[in-house]
Parts: sequence; structure tokens; C-alpha cells
Amino acid sequence: MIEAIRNQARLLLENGDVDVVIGYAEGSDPSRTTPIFIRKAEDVEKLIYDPRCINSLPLYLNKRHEYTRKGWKKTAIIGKGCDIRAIVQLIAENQLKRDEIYILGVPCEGVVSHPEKWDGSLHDGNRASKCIGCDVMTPHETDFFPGDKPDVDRSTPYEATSKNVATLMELELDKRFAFWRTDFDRCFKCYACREVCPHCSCNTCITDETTPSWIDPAAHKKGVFSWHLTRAMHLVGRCTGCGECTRACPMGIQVDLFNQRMKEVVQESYSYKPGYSLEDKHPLITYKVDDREDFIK
Amino acid sequence: MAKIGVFVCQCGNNIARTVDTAEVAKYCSEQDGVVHVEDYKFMCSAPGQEMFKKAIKEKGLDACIVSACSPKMHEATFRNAAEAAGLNPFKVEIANIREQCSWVHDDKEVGTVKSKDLTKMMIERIKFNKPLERYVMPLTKRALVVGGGIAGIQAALDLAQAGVDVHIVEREPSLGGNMARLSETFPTLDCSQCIMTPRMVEVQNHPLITVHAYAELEQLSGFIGNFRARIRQKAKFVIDDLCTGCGECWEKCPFSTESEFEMGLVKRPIIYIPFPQAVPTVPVIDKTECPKILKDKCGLCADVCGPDCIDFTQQDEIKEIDFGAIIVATGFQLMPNVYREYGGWRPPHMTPKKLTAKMRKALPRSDAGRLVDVINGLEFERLASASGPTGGQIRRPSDGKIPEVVVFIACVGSRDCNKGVEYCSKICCMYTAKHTMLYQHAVHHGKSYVFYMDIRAGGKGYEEFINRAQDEGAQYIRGRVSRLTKKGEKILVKGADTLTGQAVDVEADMVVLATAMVPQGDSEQVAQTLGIGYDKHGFFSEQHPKLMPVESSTGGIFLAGACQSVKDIPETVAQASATAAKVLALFSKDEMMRDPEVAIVDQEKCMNCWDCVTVCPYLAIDRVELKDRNGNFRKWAAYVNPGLCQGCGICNTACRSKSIELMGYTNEQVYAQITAFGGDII
Repeated sequence: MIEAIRNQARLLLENGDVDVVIGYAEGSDPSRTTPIFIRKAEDVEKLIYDPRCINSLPLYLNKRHEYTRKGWKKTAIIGKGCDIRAIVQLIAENQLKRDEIYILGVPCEGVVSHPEKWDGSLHDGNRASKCIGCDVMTPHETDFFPGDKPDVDRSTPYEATSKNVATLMELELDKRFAFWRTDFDRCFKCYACREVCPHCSCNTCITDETTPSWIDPAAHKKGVFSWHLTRAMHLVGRCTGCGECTRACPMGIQVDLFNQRMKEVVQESYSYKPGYSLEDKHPLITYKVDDREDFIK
Repeated sequence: MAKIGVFVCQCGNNIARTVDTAEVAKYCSEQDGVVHVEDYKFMCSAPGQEMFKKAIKEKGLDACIVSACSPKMHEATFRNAAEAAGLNPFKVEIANIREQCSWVHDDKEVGTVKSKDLTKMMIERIKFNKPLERYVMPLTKRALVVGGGIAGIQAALDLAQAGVDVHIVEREPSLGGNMARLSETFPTLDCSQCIMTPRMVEVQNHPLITVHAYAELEQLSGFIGNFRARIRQKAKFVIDDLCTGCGECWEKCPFSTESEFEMGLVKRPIIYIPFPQAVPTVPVIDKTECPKILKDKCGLCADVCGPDCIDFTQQDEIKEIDFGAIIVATGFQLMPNVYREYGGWRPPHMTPKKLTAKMRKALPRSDAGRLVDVINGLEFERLASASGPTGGQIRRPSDGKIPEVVVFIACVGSRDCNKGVEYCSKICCMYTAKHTMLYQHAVHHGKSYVFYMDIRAGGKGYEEFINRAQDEGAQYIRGRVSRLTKKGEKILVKGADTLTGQAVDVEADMVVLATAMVPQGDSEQVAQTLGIGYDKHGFFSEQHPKLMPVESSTGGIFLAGACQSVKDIPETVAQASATAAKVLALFSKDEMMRDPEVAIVDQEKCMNCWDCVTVCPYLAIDRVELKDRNGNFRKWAAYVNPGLCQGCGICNTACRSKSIELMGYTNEQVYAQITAFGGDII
């Protein structure tokens, strides 16, 4: 499979169809992979793909990042299904044009939840929660796909939310709040969750605003709560569920639980799945006559 | 340091009853930046306002808070007073301690504390208020009327008589609309065409009115005072300037199709004017039917045309014209396909002989599709009209016999939550009464029955008109009709009389349905083209149901006639004149002043996700390219057109990057206001 991708990447670079290929390469230790930017055709042998390739590459397509300002006209990117959802969402939000990118889709069997969990194979013990019930293991939007692309029914709801969300939702309200109070106690506002998110695309993040300073910059409870709740609200109907925020958190806070829950609510209320349509706008800014109104009492 | 004045109003006893205003004033005087306080019985009175102005001048105040009633009441009053005293009006804010405090509390202590908080919040907020200047916008003194029915005609004439340049866009080949179809009008039974056609001619001849017949408004851009309309003049295949309207062509045309104007009761030629009194009297060729255009066969009309004005190569023409105001008068239609409800459904304008096997199969019942003598109100109008297909003799469509018994059914499709619309169609009671009279006048020995739910005759002379109809022989039966079936040559009407509790069967020769009035089929599309609001039925929404009934939700666009709600002719004409008055008020100045409380974009921060463009209900936000000093493209950003923006603030809430601010309600102001109230959350 990877041979076909390498050949295609080589072809694209040799013909000058793309300026750069973004993919994965072997990392600093056997359990890790690293994102790689390939500009020369001879380097394509470095490309790999296996369940250790957990980083979300569309992050680099976000205009907020330096990479988009290097003057590269067209970028090829290796995409597993969930990353392609992020790419599609970026296009829908006008952060990217479809003809600026060339998507090398890969068939994916799931990835590990964290490099530390890698023991040579992928199994139920180390599979990322987003991969359970995934409907884009055969990606939906590609320019190149090795082999035949089978038809997949993607009309079902989003992939299963992690068990932790359900467990949390079963708790009493004050217990749930207590959970977050303890969990957020560890947050020191490094903003790794923001930096790793492919959809955080503001030039100036609301948390960096000073006139006025909406979100208290200090890492006390007020500052931490207002940051995480704002982040969750800003991603309603936009989060494509790559789970990178939780993986990137150095304190092991499960920040994507909010996003997963919001995703469920959006799905239930508006039957909307972000990341599947290049045109559809997210439900918080659109109005349909048959939108649910039962929450207005 | 700010020099803020606080003026606490007692509003007689309205506020003073539950708020210790002296205490509030004292508390405010202790706040940072407050240099002057007043506590007065009626701040809005003449002495109150004088006190306000005097304080501004003498103390050199640079911002003022009036703690009083809702800003809806007196914000403008105090802003104007401040302007007169030399203070920027947008440096005046109202703290609402009446509607939101004294009126809703009983406890004076609570009321006083809350008033203090509300006023303190405004004090902190006003420190961030910037002086704003009203925008001066140019104004194009030309009006566009969309729709050439009675509403459009009335509005256009009123405006033109006041000296305004008016253009009318009418999509049919002639002006006139639905009113031109009517035979006689209630409650005076005067002939509709006799009162209509002189006005059509007047429009045609008025030097200030330009009629674009057989044309459609395709696109509207711009904003109040500065609209640009793109009008598609559909190809008539007849050269307007040469045509004399002699009629040789439509008399000689060998082909025909159902006449839309005559509701499909008769045929019209392919080159046609809709009715003899049409204005303009220039025929059009129906390009969907003309064999010359479709197959290059025939061309007889061109042969007989004396002035040689037929041009089969004509194309649609696009005209771009600037306007300052727009009157929408697109009218109504009768609810389509209501025949189905009574089992007598037939495809429009289709006689049974022409039914194909497939159509028969699609029909709901075995005898359905054969009840051609079930007609709607407008079809009856044509049968009764002296200029109609029967020359004013009431004859039924199936065999042309004069019907001896006619059943009229009221509320067909209206006041019906299940199969139709829930609103009352309002005009049907009256036109049904009129129809019974027209019928009785034409067929003296005839018998007419009216099945009704309620009679709604609220209007000048309307109740008397209903009584007159009953006196003249119409038998009113209170009850609904369950179904219509064919019985020989007659139609068996199965109904109920709910006053006596008995079933009523009538064998009728013809049935007339008082079908509900609904908006034009494409009204939602029209609303979207114009950028105005509409309700779930497709009627255009007025700005305020009571106080702004002719303004649409978009500035500079006004609504006249049945496109806004069901209306009869007098109401339509009155509303059309009202829109003309609104347009004249708008055009009374040479430039427009626009409120500066509009959204502005921080274009560097803008991340061009266009969420604001998606949510803006006024189409006020454009996408613009930013260039560097060498003129090279740098980035995209949103731009809010201050002429279009109504200051609703939806874009602010949609903007994640906080790149949009609403002037007068900036983030700093609102944040200061909230934090002045304070309180820790955790």
C-alpha cells in the first residue's frame, strides 16, 4: 500500500504537480513517527504509514501556521479518514481551497491512542477511542487511493463517543462539576490543545485578547474554566474528532470529552456531521425551517 | 478623567415609589469620574431637559447617564438634547430603572440596590463610549415598483404625481395583475376593469413612469438609497417601438394554447396580449409554444405584420438601473390544487378527454378528474366578466349550459390546519356573496347555496352587502361539505347544516370554491432576491405588525398589497399609497443620514471564515481583498457596508476571532458594563 503512495508522491514531485508532500516518517524511537515535509522526489522512500501515525497533518494546512506562508502553491498530504474530515472542514470554512491540496488517501485500520501504548501491534488495548466505529477507514474525499475504494455507508451517526463521556454524563451534575474542578486543577494553560487543533484558525485567539481580556490569562480556576468552555463552544459543529487535543495535553486532561459531547448534541439536534461536505456551513450559523426548537421553553 | 453627569429621574411616582432616587444619586456621585448628579421628578419634561442641557454646558460634561425609563422611550430625546448642548449624542446612555427595576419590584430596598447597580454599570460602560458621527450617504431619487397589479399601479401613480421617477417591473405582458381578472368588485358592484384600465393607461402615459412589461427583477444589490437592480427584459420577439398594437398578428396566429389570463377556460394564440385592454398593447410571442422559434415553421405573424416589428432573433435583455427605494407589490395567487380535497381534482386547464392513462392513474378517485364544473373563484370571475370567454353569460365549463343550481363553498383551503393554511383568507366571504349576486343577476330563476363556516364581513358596507346577497336569493347553510361526486350531469354536494344538525345533499350544476389566497408560488425566491423577511406561508414580513406595517425588514424596501398578507382592494390601495408616502419621506432629503451604530470589522484580525456573511440577515457584509502598498493581493477580509447594516449584532456573536465590533456596543463597553456588576463565578 505504502509503495503505491510513494510512487504517486514521487510522480507528483517529479512532474512538479505539487511543491511538497506532507506525510509521516520514522521518529526518534521505534514507537514514534514524525511528520515529514518532502520536497525532493528521491526522499519519498522515507514515507511510511502504520498505526503509529497518529499526528493530525491537516494542522499544517491551517493558515495560522508558518507552513502556509512558504509560497507553496500546491501541497500533497497523506490523509487517514479522520484527517481528511479535518481537511474537508477547513475547506468548508474557507481556510483552504480544494485545488490547493492533493489528498493521498490511505486505508486505515485505526491508530494507537498514544505512542507509549505501542507494543508492536494494534489491539483493543491500545486502539484510540475515535477509531471504534469509524466510518472513514476508507476515506471519503481523496485524489489518490491505492487500490479500489469500496462504497461505505456514512449516513450513520458519528463514530462512537468514548465511554468516558457516557460515564461522565451518568454522574450527578455536582459530581460532574467536581470531576472537572479536580481535572482542571492540573491545567497550567500551555495551550497545547489549541496549538494542535486543526480548526483553531483565528489570527488572534480570544484568550490572547487584551482589550478587553475576556479570558483571564492566569491559570486559576476562573481562567482555566473560561478557556476550556470557550474552546469547546468555538468548536461546536466544527470539531472533526481527531482527538489531538487530549493526546497533546502534557497533564493528561481529557479535554476532548467536551468536544465529543458537543458533537453528540449537534448530531442529535441538527443531524449534522462536520467534515463530510465541502460546502455545508455548521449548524450554529445556519437556520433551517425544520431546526429543532424544543429547547425553547 | 471622564466628566460624567448622572441624571436620576423619579418619573413622578413611577420610579420613586420603589426606588430611593436621592440615595441612587448620592451613590453615583461617589463613583469615579462622576462630577455632576441630579435627582428630578420628570427628566423628560421641558424643565428637566433644560436642566440636562445646562449641566452639560456649565460643567463641561463629556458623557451623561440618564437613569430613567427604557431607552426605547427617551433615548432619542436625551441624545437630541445633548446634541443641542454641544455633546456628541452617542455619549449619552440610558440606565433603565423603570421597566427593568421599579415596575417589577415591590421592595424599595431591592429596587434601590438594583438601580444603583444598573446605573453603576452604565457609568463604567460610558467611559468607553466613543463619539460617533452619523454617516452621510448619497441618495438616488428613483423608485422601483415590483409588480404591476393594482398595488403597484397605485404606488407608482402616487409617486409619479409627487414628481418621483418610477419604474414598474411586471412579469406578465400586461399591467393589471389579478384585479384585471375580476368582473365586479364588492361592496359596490362596480366593474373592475372600468376602474382599473384608466389607471393602467394613466401609468402608461405618465412621463415619469417607465413600464418594464414582460420583465423580471433578477438581482438586487446595494442598500437603502443606493440600490442597483438587474432587470431581465424577456424577449417579446416584437419590437416595442414599431408595434402599433393593430392585432393583425394575434388574429392570424394559427396555433393556440390555454390562456393564463382566462384561467385556462379558453385558448389564446401563441402571439398574444393577455386581454383586449392590455397595457402596453404590445403582443409577445410565447417562445415555449411558437413553432417558428421551436422548429422554424410558420412565421405567419411576421408576414402579416404591417410595420415589420416581429423579430424572431430577439434575445433577453439585461438592464441595470439604480434606485433609491423599492416597493414590492407582487400580489397573490389562489391556492393551487384545492380540487383534490373534494375528490374533484383535475390537472389545471385539462378537460377529461385530454387525460392520459398515466394521469388517470394518478388521480385520487375513480370519478375524479371528471368534475370540470368545480371551479375556483377567479374562474367564476372570468365566467361572469363581460369581457370574459362567455361574454358575461354564466355558463358551466363542461357543456356550456346555464347552471340552474350553483353551490358556493367558503373557506376552501383557508382556516384549515390539516389540508390548507390556518389563516383566514379574509376576502372570500365577501367575494362569495358577490358571486351569488352576480349569478342571481345573470340567471334570475337560478338557485344559489353557500356552505360557510362563519361570515366575516368587517369593513365599510360589508355586512350590509352580505345581507343584500341573502335578500337577493342566496341560501346560506352553515356547515362544511364532505365530498363532491358526479351524479349524471350534475354534481352531488354532500354537506351538513350544523345549525339544524341535518345532512344536506344538493344536486348542483356547478360548484364554486372560495379558494384561499396564498402568496405567489415563487415569493420565497423573490424575498431572497430582495433580501427581505418572509413568513412560513411565503408572505413578506413587515418590520413591525402595528407601527411599521409597510416597511420590510430591509431599509428602503416597502411592501404593498397582498404579498404582505391577505387583503381586499381598498386595503391594498391604502397600503400602496402608504408605501408611496414612505418613499417620499425618504426622498425628501438630498442625502441620507445613517445611524453610526453599525458593525465594523478589524480586517487584520479577520480570518475570512465568512460565518458573518452567512448569518447576516441584511446581506450587509461583503468579501473584500486587502492589498499591500504595491497593490499585490495580501488577504481576504470581511467588510460591513454601513448603509446596509442595521446594527443587529448577529455577526458579532458569530465571529469567533472577535474581529467584528458593533459601534456603540463594543466589546470594551459591554465588558466594562458586566464587570462593573462583578461577582466571582468560582
